[in-house]
Amino acid sequence: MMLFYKAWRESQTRFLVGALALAGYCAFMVMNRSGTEGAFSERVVGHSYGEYIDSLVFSGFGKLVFVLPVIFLGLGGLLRERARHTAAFTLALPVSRAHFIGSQIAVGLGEIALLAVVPGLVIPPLSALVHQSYPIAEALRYGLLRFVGGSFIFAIAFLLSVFLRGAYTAPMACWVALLLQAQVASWRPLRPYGLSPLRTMDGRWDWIGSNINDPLPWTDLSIMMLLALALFAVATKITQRQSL
Amino acid sequence: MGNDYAIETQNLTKRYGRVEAVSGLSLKVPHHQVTGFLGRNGAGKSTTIRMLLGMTHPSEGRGALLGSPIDDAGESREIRRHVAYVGEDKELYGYMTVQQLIRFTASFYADWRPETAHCLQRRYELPSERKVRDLSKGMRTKLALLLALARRPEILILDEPSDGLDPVSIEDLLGTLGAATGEGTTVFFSSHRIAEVERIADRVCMIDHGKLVAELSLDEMRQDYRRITLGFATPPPEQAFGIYGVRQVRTSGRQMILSAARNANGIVELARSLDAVSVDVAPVSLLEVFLETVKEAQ
Repeated sequence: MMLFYKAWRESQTRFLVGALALAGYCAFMVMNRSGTEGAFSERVVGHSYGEYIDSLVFSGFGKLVFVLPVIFLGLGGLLRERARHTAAFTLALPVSRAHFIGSQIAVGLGEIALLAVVPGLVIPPLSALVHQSYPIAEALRYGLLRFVGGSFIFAIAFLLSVFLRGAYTAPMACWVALLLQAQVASWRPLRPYGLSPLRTMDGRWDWIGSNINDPLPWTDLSIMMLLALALFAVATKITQRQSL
Repeated sequence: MGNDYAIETQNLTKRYGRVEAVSGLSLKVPHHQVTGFLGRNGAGKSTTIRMLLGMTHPSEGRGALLGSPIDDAGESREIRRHVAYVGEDKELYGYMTVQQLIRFTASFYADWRPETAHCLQRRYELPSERKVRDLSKGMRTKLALLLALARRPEILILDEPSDGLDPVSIEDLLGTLGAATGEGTTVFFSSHRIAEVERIADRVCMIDHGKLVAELSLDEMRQDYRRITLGFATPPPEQAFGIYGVRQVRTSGRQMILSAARNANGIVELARSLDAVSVDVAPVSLLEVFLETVKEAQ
């Protein structure tokens, strides 16, 4: 249990900054629609309020505001402990490396789940303040998509952080990996398999025209989760073999 | 490897690329004694300790703590329940307070002794609510010691424990280590501060360039090791002193200095029979033994 506490204490600043940034961004987009529409006219003018939110909060730049903290939450592993000179103390505790890594993964996934529901907690109530409505069920639907896509991105960042030295090397490498991965996943023969987390978080290839009744892409979500689990397994294996 | 020794290694080797940090190290550390692990900087002391604790995997060889192999992940975890470690860096989780870190560490050990922890916290004057990152290095060392000793470990391993401590804290540390064996703890500590080792250790293992170069009991050293300075009227007969107990012979003009590990009386008798004009026998310090051993190994 205390390993979870440790993992939480080590990631709480990154999580809270990410959650605040995400909540602030959602609030800004809801409260400042007219100004935002001016800046993104070609993308959102003429569409409904729901489509405006879908386009700029759950897709586009809004996705980046979610993905960035997820990448930074992925910073973990023993190399990070070594950089802080605490690896010896941690490794002297009577716990396996798998437990140590597992607690970081579990706490990270919990934090991603919370980040994923932040828009759902902020947008529907604030929308009422500006005399608009955004269905909470739709926000939660995006929450699930973001959790799964975010878990995969977190897994990539975590794996890179397990074997790359340097405080910011892993997040930068993760960003590059994500862009490359998106290119590969959008290659026509691979498109039907939904391998891009950035796309999976949209829930479709084209956001306009979808609605709340569209079925969730369960196959894509399952593939993404399995890939994330595979990456976690590789990260654990590497950690178990690491010499520090 | 059985349970006859608290720590035992056989041919333990660690390579980093082409560099051999530890080379075929075979150690035997008896139970309930203080054993000093001496060596220069970079001799391989920390790497050996990291291998013993399962932090670094050996390239070759075997090792056991309390009879359990060090390279088996499951066994290594079990060993760590009985072994306490105070690392060279003394870095602990800086974001926790002293009290939080004590509670965190206590949760991993069923045999944690809260009253000992309280007692040590008072003795070391560690403020409960102070963040670990705000403690001085000396205070962090004391906190690390508290975390190690509040469990009555079977083995206490320390890597350069006195680094960064003021003289008063060093005294306190040495007293604590000396007393730990009385509670049934085996103390194994690395250091390059020979005077400290000489004060509290029962045994000493010396390592140089990753190799064990000497292993001795300090009582034996005090009793048997001697520096014998001989003066001769004619050039001294160096070859005649290749006898039992002589570790090293140095000749300077008509003077000969012998370093003896045993048989000082026999050597003196021989010197007299060879017409030595002056004979001076003096005890040796651990520093002298260490310097001679390291020089010899080179």
